[in-house]
Amino acid sequence: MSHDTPLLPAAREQRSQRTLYVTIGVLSLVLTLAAVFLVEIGLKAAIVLPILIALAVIQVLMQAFLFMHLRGSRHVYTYFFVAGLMLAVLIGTCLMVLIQSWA
Amino acid sequence: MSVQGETTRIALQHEMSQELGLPKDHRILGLWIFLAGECAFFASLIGSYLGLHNSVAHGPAGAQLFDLPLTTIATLILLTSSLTVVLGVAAMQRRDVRGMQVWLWLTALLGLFFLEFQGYEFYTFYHEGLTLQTSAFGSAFFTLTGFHGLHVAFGVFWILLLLFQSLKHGINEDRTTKVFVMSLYWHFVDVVWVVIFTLVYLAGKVG
Repeated sequence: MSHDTPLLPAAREQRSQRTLYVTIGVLSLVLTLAAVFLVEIGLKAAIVLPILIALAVIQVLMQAFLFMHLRGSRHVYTYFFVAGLMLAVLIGTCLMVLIQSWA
Repeated sequence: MSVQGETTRIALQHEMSQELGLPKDHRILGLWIFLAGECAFFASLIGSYLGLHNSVAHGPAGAQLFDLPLTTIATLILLTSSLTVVLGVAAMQRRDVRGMQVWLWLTALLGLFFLEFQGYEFYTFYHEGLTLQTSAFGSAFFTLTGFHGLHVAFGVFWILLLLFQSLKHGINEDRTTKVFVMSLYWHFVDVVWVVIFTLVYLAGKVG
């Protein structure tokens, strides 16, 4: 059953929820440091850039589905999130290509 | 669904909402629609930056200016604030008002630290010869990061407002809704920064 926000959990669930949040938070910090490390060791751009983007996508999805409670919420929120992301990618790519070809 | 079934469903939802202090549906939906619009707004700024980041004219380039250790610290601070705000919401859900207030204070503090880092970065770049007028790169960079900074500043103001309300009037169903919606906004601002940090600073260093 979907609902608006996570239900008030029982004591044990509350603890596991907090543990999950802390784990995700720490993982997010680790992913950021890993991305910086990859840049600092000076690998080729063609290798590093896709990895950096993949790490960023993982972080964005973790934040959206766990911290922003998309997981377990009404599907309509996820639709708006995905629609927003698709719109963002479309607009960003179009502008980048247009400006680069023009500049 | 029968009329009786529908009535039962609404009554159950209302009861659940009362019991849990859950945010009302329309406010959350409204915020998600707003965030979808914000995605388009930031995408236009990021797209413009990526299109213009090589147009440095006679000014300095990003790779020369960006101080990765400093920006990494700022990023870690903002990401930590995402954790503190979600812990604040978790405290609110278990009716721990004191806990919620402490986490929100921490979040506001971390947001202010981030703004301080950004202010310092702008100051440094200015003294190294990069301004809004120096080059297309400068304009795109300051516009993008400046608007993000404004969003953080608004978020800090929003958190402080909710904190003062909760200190003065306590917490009720209406205010839990506000705190939850604010937390969504704050996470979104963090998510945008993750993208900016990757595409502007890290990719800028890689070349």
